[in-house]
Amino acid sequence: MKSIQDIVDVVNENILSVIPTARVYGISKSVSRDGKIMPAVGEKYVGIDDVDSILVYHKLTGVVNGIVPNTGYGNSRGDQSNTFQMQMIVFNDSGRSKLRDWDLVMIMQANSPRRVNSSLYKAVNISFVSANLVSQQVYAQEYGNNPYPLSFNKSLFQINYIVQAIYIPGCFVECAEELICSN
Amino acid sequence: MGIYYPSGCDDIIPGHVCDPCDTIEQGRVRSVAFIKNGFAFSNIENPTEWQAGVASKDIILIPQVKGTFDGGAEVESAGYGDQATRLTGYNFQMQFQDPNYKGNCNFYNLLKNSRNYHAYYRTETQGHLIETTVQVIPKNPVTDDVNSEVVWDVLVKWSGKDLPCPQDVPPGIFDECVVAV
Repeated sequence: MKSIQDIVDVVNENILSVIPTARVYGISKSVSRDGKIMPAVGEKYVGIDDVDSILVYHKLTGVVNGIVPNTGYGNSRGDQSNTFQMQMIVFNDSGRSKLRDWDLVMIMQANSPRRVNSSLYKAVNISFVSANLVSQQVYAQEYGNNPYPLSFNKSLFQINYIVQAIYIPGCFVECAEELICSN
Repeated sequence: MGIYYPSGCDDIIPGHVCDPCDTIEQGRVRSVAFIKNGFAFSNIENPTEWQAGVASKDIILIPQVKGTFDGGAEVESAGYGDQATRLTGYNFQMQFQDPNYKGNCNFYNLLKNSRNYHAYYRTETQGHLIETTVQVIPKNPVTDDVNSEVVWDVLVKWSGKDLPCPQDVPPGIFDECVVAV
């Protein structure tokens, strides 16, 4: 497991294990198509459609870098920490999913992994931060000034979470092979 | 009866070195080595001698540690004349953590039984050789924190009259692990 996309894939696998009918996508970006803003993974549109009752895609909004205190050995000042600031955008057709938005947030939070094993990183920790359940706000963020189209039993909400990936500088492949210092 | 006081028994104290532009030496015990008693350096700053010692298994390198050296706790005994006490030596302690936990249990269990090694520790650019053999006391504590690391916590103790002196670190010796074969 070598990148944030791989970690997002693990989160998606956990979502599918509890909500098998959900359609999940990886890290998306806002793209312009025919003058309209919409989410896409590569060239593929991943936004709202009439097919899926629950649809999930992710967005990477930023990375915060820091040094983990008291973790340095030798000349190192410490392990590096990359905190990926993530959003999970969820479309919910509660008429078909039979799940309310806040119940869906709870299910996803309860079943998401807290820690992921990675050959690249020393530790990968996942933490849910907050959720925005105001559908109009999230729609405006994702689709710009397009008229809000969702009826009473359809909504778009956002779960904010962080992925903290800790690694030893200069030690990716080498650490995966476990060097042993001995005489 | 004449009183004879031997002359020339005072150590010659060298001049103090003062350089306002001197580069500072930054802290942390960053690397440690154990050198078998009897292995002698002709030039401890020469990396070739270190490589030969590692190859002959007379030198054990632990390149990446973090630790402290206490500077020595003074040992004083009764003084003479106008001196109430006099300094007779120090009890020294160096403590370091070794992050290579899983593969080194046998290593530390055997090292702790030996009194046949000198220790050497490195700060930023300077190495310090301990002239007497040392006692190594390793521990592997576990804390109640899922985000913590289990590492070797090693205490090295020795006694001596003199403080360890800094010398330039041999280039390249402590830069990377030596892979066990």
